[in-house]
Amino acid sequence: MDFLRPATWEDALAMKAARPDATPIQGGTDVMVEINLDKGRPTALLDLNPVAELSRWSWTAGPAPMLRVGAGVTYTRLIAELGGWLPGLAQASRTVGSPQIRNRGTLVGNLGAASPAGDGHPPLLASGALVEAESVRGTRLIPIGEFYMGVKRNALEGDELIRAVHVPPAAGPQCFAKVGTRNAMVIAVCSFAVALDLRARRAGTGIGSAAPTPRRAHAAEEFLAGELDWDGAGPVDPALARRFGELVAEAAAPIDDVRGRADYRRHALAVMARRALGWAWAEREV
Amino acid sequence: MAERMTVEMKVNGRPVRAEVSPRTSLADFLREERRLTATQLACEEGVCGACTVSMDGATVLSCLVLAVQAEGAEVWTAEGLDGAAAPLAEALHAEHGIQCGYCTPGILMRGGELLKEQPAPSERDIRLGLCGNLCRCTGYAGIVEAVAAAADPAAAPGERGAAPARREDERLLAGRGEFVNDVSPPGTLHVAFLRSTVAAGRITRLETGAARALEGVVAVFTAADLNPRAGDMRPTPLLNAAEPPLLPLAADRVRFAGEPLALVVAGDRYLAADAVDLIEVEIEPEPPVLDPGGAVEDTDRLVYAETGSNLYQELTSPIRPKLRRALEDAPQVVRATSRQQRQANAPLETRGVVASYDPDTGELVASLSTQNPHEAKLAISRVSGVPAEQVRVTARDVGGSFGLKVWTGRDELTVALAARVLGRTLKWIETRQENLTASGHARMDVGEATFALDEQGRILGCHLDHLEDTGAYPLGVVGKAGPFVGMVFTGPYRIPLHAFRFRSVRTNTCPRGAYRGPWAFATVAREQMLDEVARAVGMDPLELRRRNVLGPDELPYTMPTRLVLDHVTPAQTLEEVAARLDYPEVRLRQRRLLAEEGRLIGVGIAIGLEPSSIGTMQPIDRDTARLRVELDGTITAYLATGAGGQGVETTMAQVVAAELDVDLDAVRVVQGDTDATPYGRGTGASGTAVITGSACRAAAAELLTMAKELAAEHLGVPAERVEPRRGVLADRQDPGAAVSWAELAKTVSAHGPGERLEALGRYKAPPMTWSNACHGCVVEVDRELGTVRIERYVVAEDCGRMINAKVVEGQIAGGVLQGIGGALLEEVRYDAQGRPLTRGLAEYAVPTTLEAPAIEFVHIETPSPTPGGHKGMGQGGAAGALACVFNAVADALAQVGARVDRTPLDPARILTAFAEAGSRSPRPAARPPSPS
Ligand SMILES: Cc1cc2nc3c(=O)[nH]c(=O)nc-3n(C[C@H](O)[C@H](O)[C@H](O)COP(=O)(O)OP(=O)(O)OC[C@H]3O[C@@H](n4cnc5c(N)ncnc54)[C@H](O)[C@@H]3O)c2cc1C
Ligand code: FES
Ligand code: FES
Repeated sequence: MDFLRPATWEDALAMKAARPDATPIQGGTDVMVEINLDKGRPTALLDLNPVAELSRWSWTAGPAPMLRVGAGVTYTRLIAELGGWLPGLAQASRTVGSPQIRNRGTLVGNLGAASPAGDGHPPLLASGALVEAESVRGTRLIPIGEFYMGVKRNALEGDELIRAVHVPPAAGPQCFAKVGTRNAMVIAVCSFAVALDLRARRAGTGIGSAAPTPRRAHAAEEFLAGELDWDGAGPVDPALARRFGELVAEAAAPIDDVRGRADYRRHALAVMARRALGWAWAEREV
Repeated sequence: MAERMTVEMKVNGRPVRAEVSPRTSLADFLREERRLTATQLACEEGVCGACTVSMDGATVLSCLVLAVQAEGAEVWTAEGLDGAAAPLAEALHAEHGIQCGYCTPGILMRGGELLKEQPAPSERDIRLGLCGNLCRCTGYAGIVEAVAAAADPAAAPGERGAAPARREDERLLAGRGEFVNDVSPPGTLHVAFLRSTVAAGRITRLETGAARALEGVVAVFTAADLNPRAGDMRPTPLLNAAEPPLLPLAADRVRFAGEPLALVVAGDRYLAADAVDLIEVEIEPEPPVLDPGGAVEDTDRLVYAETGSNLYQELTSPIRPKLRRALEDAPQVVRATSRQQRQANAPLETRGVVASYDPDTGELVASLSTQNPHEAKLAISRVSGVPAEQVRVTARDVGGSFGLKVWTGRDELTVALAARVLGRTLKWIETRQENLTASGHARMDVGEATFALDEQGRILGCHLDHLEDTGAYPLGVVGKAGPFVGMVFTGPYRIPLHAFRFRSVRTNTCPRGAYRGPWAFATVAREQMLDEVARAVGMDPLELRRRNVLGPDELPYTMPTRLVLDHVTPAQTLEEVAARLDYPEVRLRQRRLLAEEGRLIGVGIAIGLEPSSIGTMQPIDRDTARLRVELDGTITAYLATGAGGQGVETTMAQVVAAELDVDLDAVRVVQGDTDATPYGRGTGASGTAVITGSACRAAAAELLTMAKELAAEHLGVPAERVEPRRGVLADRQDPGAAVSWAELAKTVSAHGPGERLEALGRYKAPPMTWSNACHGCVVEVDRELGTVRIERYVVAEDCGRMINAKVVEGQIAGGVLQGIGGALLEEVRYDAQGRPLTRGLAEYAVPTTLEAPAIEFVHIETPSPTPGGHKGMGQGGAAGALACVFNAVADALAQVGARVDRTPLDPARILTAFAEAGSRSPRPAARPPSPS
């Protein structure tokens, strides 16, 4: 196993171009588990930690600035520094692993792994994030909905690395919900995120761990945009919330595995979606 | 292997420069290259937190960081904390936040960071902040309290008179504990096993050429190499059992996925693992025997063809006519079922051994993670053929065990044999995957019982049909412990008639071993079933228990199986729990919350009876202790124990100090070295306080007799006038006249330089020393998600005279959390082919800080009729909690007509129960009793 240690982003891109077989490693909380458990040892590791610029975040330019979260920003820092703008993502980040995992693990690592159960995905889907991928050939911005290609497969080319994720700041309340086999250090049995855009009167959604890839619940989003009384005071109409939950569950295609059964996943999704909508809506009132 | 790379970093403030292989993890670098062994490895998948270190100001898991990634970094380990962690270290010591100490360095690292981030954390903050540090021993109670106390010393509960802090802690806090993986003599070679991935089948090919050819591989052993040289591998109590032989490595057949097929010896553990991957193996699979129920009748598929049946043991006690009539004709007859899932002990430290054989001296020395060093010595001698006198077993610190390490395992014995064959030092540290799939499983029981009751809800008699899955072969004496469940099934109740059938069957699964209360199923099944009975007859479960539980004036009570129950307080503990929970109030609240908000609250009660310190089971029914007075007047106690967190070095020192009336600090306990200590039972089966403690007392009495005579000579008074008093031997009639222990020791040593004042004490336990407890808890079940939250947890227990209240509470809290894990979360699972699905601590979900309730304790101290008045209490916590939590959830579910009869009560099972109940009908009102 070779260990490649680029000092700059340009070095990293050059190394990745020369060695497409090299596995990038950021926090290592996915990569190292695979190596330790002998689920295939990579021929080479490309350590991105020395690339200092990756651990910064900034605002993008333009009429609708987004937060550009560098690939090296850990969950711990994301929660502390960006939680105000990205409440849904911060809420999801708080449920990742444990403090030690969050001290080292990154949102971009979550994208690199592209596990259907990754907690970062639902809030990114719900808020319409963009993945900034780059290679020696150039940069492209991949809409999050087009990023996930299959179980643990994403849209990156062999020579590409993720430099950052662009996430729009919240335009309304956001909520993330997750069930797991225990309360901490647990990969989601299923998860759900909702982001309300009060100005545009739209809702974004994201479903985790209930299909080969994380996905949005399009029909549920359209239903809310059309049926929710966006000006109304008081709690969400229970019937509407229930219908929303059903539509979210219908968007899922879960399987049975060691963590949970498909029917439980679908049921729990409906419940979580209904509750998450209720909580998000209630937050609007305060 | 790629070439080595240079890495420079600062470790504990000192600059370090080294050449490492890029594959070396930071944990291995610190442990192996820097010899900083505080940092432990317990999963290598980021779940346990034992490997937590601080890197550039933040805690990280050193198993998930490569050493080369620490280039330029500043790394701190527990060894480097010194004063920095002092308040937390002191608090962990004071609050008994340490048992085996395996998790402690990680807790210190993460706890320190937490206190820096949140100087005044709430209890919730502490639990969230430590959720990535697993502890299998403490139930987290002492740890959470310690962090709170470190943040705010005023909040500390403070030390209690009866609970001195533990002497084991100092080395554990400083990172100087010595666990088996910390033992690395020069020239150590590393062992890895190739294991079957198939549950049942015939080995058709095993090709080791490529593995042998790998550079750095020293040897590859298969069955042909080792089996012919191996002596009997079974534990001492099973030596004469008529069993198919147990051999080091599978020869022609495999009987469970995880069974060892070959053993590789190499220069380091990564190489050994790589070589294992190079062995080519083909196994022709056969349909495995997986379902214990079906296995009984199955004669086509046999785990051992030569036995003709999968039935391993059967014991039936006859149903006498009176009982038969009761079961047929009583006014109320209720049938109930209770099923326990397969569980794993999962101590934080896995098994391990470092064995060296010196062909010149013929001596075999083995460091072992064991509860029972002397049994390990005998077993190693038998298997390796080295005479017992030339085998030495040492075990200083053991990172938890809970029964797993009481009988020396097949794998450890195989490694010792290989060391003998090679004449080298071999080290094997079990991986977590091996631990969860091949070390031992437990609790696979099914019980079906029938209860006969009169109109008033008094139990007239019962019958239990108990089936136990023993796996591919039993480990230790569990096969004999099985019938015990039937023997003690009626427990603390006035049940005049009882009979049972016990059967155990072999299946193609990991062997069954001992786990914290091997007979816990008696309590679990009975208490779960009593609630079922209560529901069936329309009586509150507390009321049913009140009508049947034995009161103080009914003792001694002869159970239908002729065991005699005495010196117990089941009725008192029941009332304590009912009062603490404010039972009537909980019931009112339960009804109100259901009616007004549709919420499901449940309350559960379970009375447990622990047959501790069993005196009928050789060789663990007795113990020996040796006391020696050193020249400086201090006393050394040599014990055969192999403590894994029970605080034996503290409690036994307390016993000796009290008997001799010397300062606690004047007594030192030596254990875990078969050369230094007399033969004895080890630590297990809740026997230390009663059996080892009584042996210590006997030794102290013997020592005092000798000391009094010597002192009498010194003082010129008759020996009857001499008594031990605050560190000296004094004349009863002349308070000024006294002689010190040091002087006596010197008197004896005058006879010869090696002569010491010393005494041996022996003790053989009476048949049974019962301890009892009642657990009560309140839970809320999320009706839609099926999740369970424990609101309150109360334990009222009677373990006789407590030696150390905090050690007692620590044992109970740890047991309770294992019970909660068993009731709600933990399940070892196989697929339909018998391949293990739960291979790591991510899948086998042991509880974290966030599942652990705060526990409220009530202590009742009814002395047992043994020398110290103690009773064993190490195991009962787990059994009580398994039943109590189950009952609370079942109680919540019953309100909407949903029923459960098996654990774990995970969300999917609970939702299925709701679905089966169909209608959300309210709890049926108490029906008038009617014959069924
Ligand atoms: C005990 C434990 C608990 C966990 N709990 C959770 C949880 O609750 N929720 C959850 O979502 N996840 C969880 N995880 C998984 C993991 O922590 C997350 O997926 C995390 O986001 C990974 O980030 P990382 O920086 O550590 O990634 P790494 O392990 O460094 O990398 C992950 C993947 O991304 C690739 N990659 C990394 N950086 C780049 C880049 N710049 N460009 C392209 N590819 C890249 C890597 O090659 C690899 O395939 C857990 C892991 C452990 C060990
Ligand atoms: S060994 Fe590193 S987290 Fe368990
Ligand atoms: S004391 Fe925590 S694992 Fe033993």
